[in-house]
Parts: sequence; structure tokens; C-alpha cells
Amino acid sequence: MTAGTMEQKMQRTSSDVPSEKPDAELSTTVPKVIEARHVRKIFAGAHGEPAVVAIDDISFDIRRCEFTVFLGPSGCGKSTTLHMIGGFEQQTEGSLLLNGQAIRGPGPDRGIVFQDFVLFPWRTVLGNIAFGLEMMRCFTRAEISERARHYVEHLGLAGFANAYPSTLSGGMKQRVAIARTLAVQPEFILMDEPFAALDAQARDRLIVDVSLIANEQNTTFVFVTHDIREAIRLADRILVFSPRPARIVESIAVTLPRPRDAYSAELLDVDRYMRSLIGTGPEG
Amino acid sequence: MTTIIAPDSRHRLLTLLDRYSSLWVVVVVVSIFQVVVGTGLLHNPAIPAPTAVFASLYRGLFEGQHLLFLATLDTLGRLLLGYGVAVLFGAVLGILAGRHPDFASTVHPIVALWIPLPAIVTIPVLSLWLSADEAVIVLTVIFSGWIPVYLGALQGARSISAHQLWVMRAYGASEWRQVCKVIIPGAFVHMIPSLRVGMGYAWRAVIAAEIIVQHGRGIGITIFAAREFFDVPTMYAGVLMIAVLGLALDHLVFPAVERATIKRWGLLT
Repeated sequence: MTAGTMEQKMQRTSSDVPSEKPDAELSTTVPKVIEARHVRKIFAGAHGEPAVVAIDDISFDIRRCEFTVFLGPSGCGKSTTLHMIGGFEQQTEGSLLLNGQAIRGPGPDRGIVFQDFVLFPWRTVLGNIAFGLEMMRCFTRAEISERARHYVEHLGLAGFANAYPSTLSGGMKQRVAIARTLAVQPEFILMDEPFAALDAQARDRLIVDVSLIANEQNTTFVFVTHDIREAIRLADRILVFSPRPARIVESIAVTLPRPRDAYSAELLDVDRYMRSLIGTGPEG
Repeated sequence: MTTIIAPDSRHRLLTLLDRYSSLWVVVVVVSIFQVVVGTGLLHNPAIPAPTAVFASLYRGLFEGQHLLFLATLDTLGRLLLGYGVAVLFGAVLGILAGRHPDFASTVHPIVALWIPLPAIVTIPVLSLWLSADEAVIVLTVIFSGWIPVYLGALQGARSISAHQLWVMRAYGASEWRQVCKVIIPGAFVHMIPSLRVGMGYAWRAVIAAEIIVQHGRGIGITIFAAREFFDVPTMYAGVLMIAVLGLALDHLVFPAVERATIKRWGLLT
């Protein structure tokens, strides 16, 4: 493999994204929607335990409609970063801006999908998908029902609208959670290891479906995973996190069109390249 | 190909017999009593023949002034009023304590002191405060029934996951809406056993309070009055009424609630 062919599929932007020169390679006409500058997160130790530095000085930019993947080992602080973007946690130091504004808490502009699905067991599939719409109170009953039904179809849940979550497989449950998130048409979709609890088949199908959704939707995705193959099949850009305390050690752009065939020669090349990169990373 | 076996009536009868097989034990014991007492083998005025008890039960329910029937209605009225308030009070306090640790640490010492108190010890004190005997009985029921409901609601509210709370908060809904749509149903899925225990407590409390307060009509009062007249079969009829009603409430109402909720949702196998 020559450096030239590699270049077409991915660009290594910088090893430590500096605040002065963010991502010169990416189109500068697309506005930055998330800007993190020197973000640190320290969890105070409970019951006299020492404080834990979860995130040690990270800076990055995310541009509109970009599919960004935070890739890193388990417990490295990538989920915490996602939770801070979601407004569920706050950074200890540094600034984290969403459309130029400091994040003050969660909001309907940011939908979140968790590894453990987080459905409400007393609601049907349709009821779970309608949940966000009902909570927002700016839709009529008819609108809620129509939209929820649309996303039932869209996520391949037709025939399960009136089923309760306990009767569904993991893959189906995660489809419901994704549909609930899409239903309110958020500007951002945050996904926290969404496929980690699924079997290989369900995961594969969902990767393809999320790829299609990302292509058609005017949405910025931030996706957390520890799985290289998930990252390279989905991402426009991969931010590689070091083990805790988190730093961003690589920023890699992947320019192959989605959905990507997991076993195409090109993707296997990217895979090999990623593994060599992470293998030679400072924390290895 | 699946073969569907039509349920024949004989099969159905057998399942019915099987389901209520424990009833046979009762039938056998009652029959033995009937034989022993009826034939005069056992002659004790405190042990009436089962037929005499059933006759008294029948008279009390369907004949004359329907005394036992009316007493039962009054007892059920007090029970349901007291239990209803107890559920409301216990659930509100429990959910508040489950969601707000500060509130929990404030009310918990009081609850901890309350738990070991038998409901009836409050009756003399309540009688001093309140002139209305009816209110004393109902309050005794409330004081007794709210504790299990409180503990169940506390546990239920605590078991709502952090991620569920995050999803709830993500849509900018009002606090009240969040409580109605997530906190209350989320707590409820863990609460049915405590609602059941609370009903049991309330039953005991209402009969005990009726016997002590001696106000108006009620099963407890009927039993106590029958003792004054040495109408032993009526005393047993009252006891039987309590047992059968208690059993019916526990075996019909709560399973129905479970079928309509947690069983339907697949949370109970």
C-alpha cells in the first residue's frame, strides 16, 4: 500500500488538535457546531478516596452534519465527554460550546442513545417513540401519533407498534430508542456505545441503518465506541482517545461513502491502518 | 404444523379442581367439625357447628335487618377510605424521599420510629384529640396502612435508573410532567407487593379499631356485640366474613392489577 492510496480514504489531521489550527483539511465553510477547548473533568473522590482525573485537557471541533466517532479503550473518558455535550455532566475546566453557547444542561436539540436502551417498560413501542414528542408539549396528539408511526416504519418496527419492550430483542429495543431520538428531529444525535450490548447480526444491520439515517438526515452525530470496525464503518472523522486520563491522540478523517461494506478491501485497509496507529500510540 | 388441542370440558374441570385443590383441605376440616360437633361428641358452647355458623352468616347477610351485610359495608367503607388515603400519603412521601435524599434523611427518623408501633396504640391518643369516633377508626387505618406503601414507593423511586432520568430530562418538560410520565409509573412497577401488604395492615387495623372504639356498625363491632349476647355462631360468622373478604381482596384485586400492569408489560413472568 502506498501513502497515496491511503490518502484518498483518510487524512490524519493532527496528533494533538491545537486550538489555533483546528482541522485545516476539512472544509472551513461548514460551521463548527461543537467546540471543546482544554476541557478537563475531575470526579471528586467519594468517602475520602482520591479525586479521579477522567479527562485531561482535550480540545476538538465538530462541524455541522459531521459524523464524529470518539474511539478509545473502556473507561477512558469518551463517554464522559459525550455526557458533557449532552449537558448531563459539566466540565471541571475549559470551555465546551454548542453553537457558540456554553452548555447549560440537557435539551431537546440533543438526542441521546445509550448502550442499555433506556426504554420505559410501561409504554408500548409506539408510546416509547412518542415519549419525547409528548414531553415537549409543542405537538398535537395527531402530530405525535403520525410522527411516531412514521419512525416505527422507518426503523423497521412495523408490526411491533403495540408490543411492550420486554418482548423485544436487544436490536429491536435499540431501534425503538433510536426512533424515539429521531422523532423529535434533534440537531445532534449522541450515541453512547449503542451497539455494545447487541449480537453481531443485529449490530451489523444497525450499523447499515444508522449509516443510511446519517446520509439522509441533516443531523450531527457524535458516536462513542471502543470498536475500531464500528468506528471506521460509520465515521466521517474519528477522534482517538488515550486511556484515562483522556487526551485526544489522533484525529482521522474517513472519506469513504456510507454505508460501507465491512469486508471491502478499502475498509480492511483502513482497519489495518487504524490498528497500526493505535498500536503505536503513546499509551499503546 | 402445529396441532391445536381443543380444550374439552373435562380437562377444564380438572384444571379448576387442581387450581382450588387447597380448598379441599378446608372442606375436609369443616366436615370433621360438623360431624364431631353435630353428633355431640364435642360439646362446648364456644365451638358451634359449622352449619350454625353458615346459618348465622346467611341470616346476617340476607334476612331481617341484614345486620352483617350492613356492618360489612361500613367496615369496607372505612377500610377503602383509610387505605386510599394511606396509599396516597405513603406514595407521595415515599416518592419524594426516593428522589430527594435530603427529604429522605428528614422523614426517615420519624418513619423509623413509626414502623414498630402497633396501629391500635394510637387509638387512645386519637380518641383524646378527636371527638368523632368514625375519624379515629379511619385514621388508625391510615396510620397502619401507609408504612408499607411508603417503603415500596421509596424503593421504587430509587430504582429508576440514572439514564432513564437523563432521557426524561432531555426534552425540557416541566417537573410535574416528568413526575407524571416517568417517576410515578417508574416507582409503581416496584410497588404492587407493598400495596398488597398495606392492604393487609389496613384490614387488621380497621377490625381492631372497630372493636376498641365501638362506634356505629362494623364487622368488628358485630363480633364484639355477639360476644355480649353469647351468640357464638355470629361471632364465627363475622370472623369468616373477615377471612373471606380479605382473601378475596388479596386474590382477586391485586392479581387483576398485576395483569393490567406489570404482567402486561412483561415485567413479571
